[in-house]
Amino acid sequence: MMKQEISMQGFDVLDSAPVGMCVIDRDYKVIFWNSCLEDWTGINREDIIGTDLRERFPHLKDPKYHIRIDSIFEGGPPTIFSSQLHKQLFSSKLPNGEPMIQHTIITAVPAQDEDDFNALFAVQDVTELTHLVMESKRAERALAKLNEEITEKNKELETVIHVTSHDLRSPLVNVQGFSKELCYTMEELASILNDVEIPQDVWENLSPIFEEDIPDTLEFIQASVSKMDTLLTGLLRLSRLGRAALNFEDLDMNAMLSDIKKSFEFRVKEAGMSVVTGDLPPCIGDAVQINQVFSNLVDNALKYRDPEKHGIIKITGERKGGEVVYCVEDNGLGIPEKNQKDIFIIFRRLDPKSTEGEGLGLSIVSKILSRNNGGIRVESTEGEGSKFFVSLPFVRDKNKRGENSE
Amino acid sequence: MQPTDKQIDALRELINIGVGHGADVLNTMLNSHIQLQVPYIKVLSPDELQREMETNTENRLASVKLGFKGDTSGTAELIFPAESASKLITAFTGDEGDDLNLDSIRAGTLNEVGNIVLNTVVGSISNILKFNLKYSVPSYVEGDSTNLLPPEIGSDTVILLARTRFLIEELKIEGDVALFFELSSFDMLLEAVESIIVCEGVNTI
Repeated sequence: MMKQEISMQGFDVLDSAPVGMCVIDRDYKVIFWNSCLEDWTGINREDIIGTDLRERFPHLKDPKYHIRIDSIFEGGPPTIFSSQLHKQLFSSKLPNGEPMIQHTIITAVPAQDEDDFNALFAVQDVTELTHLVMESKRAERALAKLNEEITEKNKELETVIHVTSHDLRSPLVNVQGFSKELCYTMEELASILNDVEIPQDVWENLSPIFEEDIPDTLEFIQASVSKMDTLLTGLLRLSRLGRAALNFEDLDMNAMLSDIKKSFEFRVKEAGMSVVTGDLPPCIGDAVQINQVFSNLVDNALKYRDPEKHGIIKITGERKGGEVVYCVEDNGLGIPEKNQKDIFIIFRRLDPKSTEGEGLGLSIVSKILSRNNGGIRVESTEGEGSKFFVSLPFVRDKNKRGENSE
Repeated sequence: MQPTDKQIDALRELINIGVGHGADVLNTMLNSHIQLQVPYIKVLSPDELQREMETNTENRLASVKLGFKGDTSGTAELIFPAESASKLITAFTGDEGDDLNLDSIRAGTLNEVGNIVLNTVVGSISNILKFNLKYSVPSYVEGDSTNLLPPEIGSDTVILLARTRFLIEELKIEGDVALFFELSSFDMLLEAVESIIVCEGVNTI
């Protein structure tokens, strides 16, 4: 009953607005108080209209509020009270009892006396938005911290690899040297024994030791030393890669692949294969390292060719958004599906007996591409061949690229 | 109409008065000591402003806009390089920003700070020159120098650019207050300024 008697001076249309709205005159007397504010503050309009807003919200007497609100009564520009600096202008609680966070804009609206202005408060509930932003910030911070930790761990790991592979080398050189020495000593001993008369029954016992057991054992030692030396060399290469300074530049990939083709010319002819390249878009990267990537992929295509077929290596590239995707395709042996996920892992070799190598090539390729803001993936069918897709950042300024390449 | 040196002096003083009031409000509000200075003002064409922005600031900018209409019309903007905007908010709130893209909460804070400075600058111009103005709701925009200019800007737009320095304890953050006027509105502004100079003298504004 009371509600109908209260004059809201034509602001009734704002009553059901989904934001808190109120209007006060220059004496801070409340003229309008909408349903939203009734719900939020728990103050009914019957109780507040006609009263001084500062009685309910005494903080508005503080100069930091009233200086700015007062300018509205002179027809001044809208005034903002943001959520981060003020939390809430009108003390309100959410249904769960949590304080509401508000963003308020106050604008001047003409008063009934046309030379005067009233202040219209539009209060927005930004609690949920604030929580979402905070949550996303927390997640971002946690992610950044995790990334930092991973980078730090990677650095540590590289240092460990570098130091251990370097330090393991000295005892290995000793094993290699002394096992050779042992070989010479054995030869010397054999020659001494040749000049000495040994009873037949004793010689029958000694002969397999001198002629088979010891030489075979020494051969195993030397083969293992050589294998370990290859692995340590590979590890050192990999750890140096992580520390190498990069020089990013615009790369003319047509020129680079033409050089790579020349360097493989002899082996390609020898293998009776052919290499076909399309028009390759430019990209950004470190010239030496990217050359290593494509050289490695061509080398692999040569190594794992199918001797039953005329081998073809096809290199193409196309721009996709902000990056260029190159494809190095061969019609070689292909990679069994179950092994495809392992090929970029260090020291994984699919067929260690049939080809030489330390099982580092593709892990180096993958590491280089990651340091050059790129990536690699493979599609392969056993018996048909493989496609390696290399992505790298695209050179945005085509004109500049053209000038450089000409 | 090109402003005379006296008119430029008077405009600088008008902006200085507004910026000074802005500093008072910020000090009252934040309980800290903030000084605002205007080392210089310039009158520029849109092309000149673009060059000025590209030379003096990084690509990413944050801006608060306030449109006004009436005896003179235009848009007032407070423009910061994104990094300065982020530092400024951190200085006011103590909340560390993670990157240059302001989230909506930090953008709201910058909107309020910009609102205070622009209101006092535009308010002092309208009070002293006795302009009757109506205002739009302030808005926050982020982007490079090309998308910060008001969309209605034409080749005959005149821009009054006031370099504004926020001194908060040991921190020195610079932004620009830019006032965009159509030529006819700018001429009206100059006429009003001229009448003040004639009536009262620059120093007594």
